Amino acid sequence: MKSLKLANFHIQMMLPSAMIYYMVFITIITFLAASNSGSGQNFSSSGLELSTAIFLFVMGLNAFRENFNFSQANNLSRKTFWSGLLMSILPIAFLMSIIDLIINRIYNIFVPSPTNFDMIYGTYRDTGMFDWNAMQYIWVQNNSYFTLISTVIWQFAVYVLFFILGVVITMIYFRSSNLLKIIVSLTPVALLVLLRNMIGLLPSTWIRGLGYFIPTAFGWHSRNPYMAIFTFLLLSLFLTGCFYILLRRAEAKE
Amino acid sequence: MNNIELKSITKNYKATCALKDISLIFEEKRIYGLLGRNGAGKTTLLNLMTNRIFPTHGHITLSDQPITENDALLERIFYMTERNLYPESMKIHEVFRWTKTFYGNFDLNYANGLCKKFDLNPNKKIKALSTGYNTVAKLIVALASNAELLIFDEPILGLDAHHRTLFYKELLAQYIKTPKTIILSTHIIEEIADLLEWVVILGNQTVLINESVSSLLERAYTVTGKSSDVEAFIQNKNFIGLEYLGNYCKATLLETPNTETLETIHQIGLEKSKVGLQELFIKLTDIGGVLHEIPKIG
Amino acid sequence: MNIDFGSQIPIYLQISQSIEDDIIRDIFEEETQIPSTTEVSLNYNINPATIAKGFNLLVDEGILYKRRGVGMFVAKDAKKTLIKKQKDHFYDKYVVHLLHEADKLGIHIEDIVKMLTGGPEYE
Repeated sequence: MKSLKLANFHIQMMLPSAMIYYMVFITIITFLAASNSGSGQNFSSSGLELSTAIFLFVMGLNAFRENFNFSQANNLSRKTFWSGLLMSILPIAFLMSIIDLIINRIYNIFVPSPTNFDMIYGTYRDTGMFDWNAMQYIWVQNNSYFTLISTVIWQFAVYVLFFILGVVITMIYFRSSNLLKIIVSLTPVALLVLLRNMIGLLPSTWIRGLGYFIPTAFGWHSRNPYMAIFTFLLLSLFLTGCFYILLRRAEAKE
Repeated sequence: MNNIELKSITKNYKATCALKDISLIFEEKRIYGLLGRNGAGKTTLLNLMTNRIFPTHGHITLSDQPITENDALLERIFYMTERNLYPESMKIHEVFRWTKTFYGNFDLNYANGLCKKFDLNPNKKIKALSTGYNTVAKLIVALASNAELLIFDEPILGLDAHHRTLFYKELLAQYIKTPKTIILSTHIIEEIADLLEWVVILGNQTVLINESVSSLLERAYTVTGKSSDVEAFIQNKNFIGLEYLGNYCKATLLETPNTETLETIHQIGLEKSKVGLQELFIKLTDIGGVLHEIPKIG
Repeated sequence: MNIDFGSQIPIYLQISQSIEDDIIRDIFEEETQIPSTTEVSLNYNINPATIAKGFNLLVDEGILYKRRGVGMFVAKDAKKTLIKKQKDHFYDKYVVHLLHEADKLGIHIEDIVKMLTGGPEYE
């Protein structure tokens, strides 16, 4: 019950930022659409809704401090704060997913613009956008119910994941001492370097296994977006668990 | 019973120990003063009692149930912190509205009435408030929360004399209307001394005093006179302060004087007087006796 | 009612003493209601328990009495009782102190008597 109230609080705190985000976003694509139809130039864009994922990632990075303080001002437990913050992202991500779909479909009238979903699971993957031999656009966006609904759910799962990732990264920094902060910051770089140099040393079956596992987990071969949605949800759940563990003994710093 | 009970609480921050093996009961429906010098662990103690931080050892209960992560218990406590915890861009009336959603008994009319009395514009944003008005805003939220336990950390920070008096009055009025446990942690002792029923003094990471104000003040007294007389008098007595000024000496003692003692005082010709809470506090917490040294001038 | 926060006397005693004085001075008349603990508490910002302690001292002495649901009233003959009590205390409260001070300054009893009987012209 209190979690819902806190979720409501967080949603209301996020709304102004989301509104500004869409105002900027719509202004830019309106400008693009206008210049496309006006000058006779033909250009296309793709995967614009990735910016929403980045926006939500940043919101996730910033969600912790203010909300945690506010939950403490009202003497709420960490459990309540945890569930409240997580619940708040669900309607936000869902609503933004629908808005992004609508914006995309309207924008598509003026500028051909496949969504990430179209590019991974749709016909765009096979045809591309422009047939250079015939010199014409050959990609047509699919508007079947299945595509529309799947797009919304797929984007929703991505947005939720990005937000929680942002929250967890902030939490890791919040819980770390200065030395640990440096170690945490260097870890991804170190891992990448290590992986690049070590990859030859790993057994080739591992590499091949990984090369098979990752596309499968995201439903590439089977063209099944729900495989990816399932994977995103699993990752989100894992991060949610990390969030809980990091939060359990967190003490606000003076 | 709404007693808060701390059972052998220790709190360590990395290598430093903030509180050491503290056992304490805050009994319901009393006005407590929590006193201690800077760094004595007052805020640490309050944070422990409100689930903000966790004890290294020991546990804390409210109504005999562990307070840790217990929403049902935590909502009975309103804790006014020294630090502002509300979003900077939030307006005062929005703070009221949100508090009302988490504290069902929050009295919106009373809060608005207090805004008028304290001359605080509820349409202002938190970040637009001066230190004094920031405190006022937090006080109003706490007073109107109608929680069964009110905890104030530095409730009069930056307040002018008029606002302080007004706060004391409103606090008492709330207390008289519905008796509740009130804990005031402050450095301004003189002003709140008569408001308090009970006093807890922290020092050396532990509880120095946990006693009703009246009984504490009854057993504290000073004797003044010729230093040799005073020195002779305080032998085998629990004295907590000794000040010299030439041949004149003043000793502060903390033990109920019996008739024999009173006669001795009279016989030697010493002057006996009472000690106020603030003076007593200063004596009790003067670690190393730095106050006895007279600063060198020139 | 007059409370001196810097005084050596505990607040609850000051409360009861000032009520006594006010009764003797006819500010609080017999069989009339006196201010409630709440009013006094809020007026001076003193813990109501302290005020109640002062009031109860007078209730125990029969100077005040409680009317259930109404408040505190000054008892009949309270003034007479108080004057008698204060007369009894006059020696302890003033004379002993006077003699003590006189002793410190080396003033003889005869001089004190002269001061008292001579009135303002003594000087």
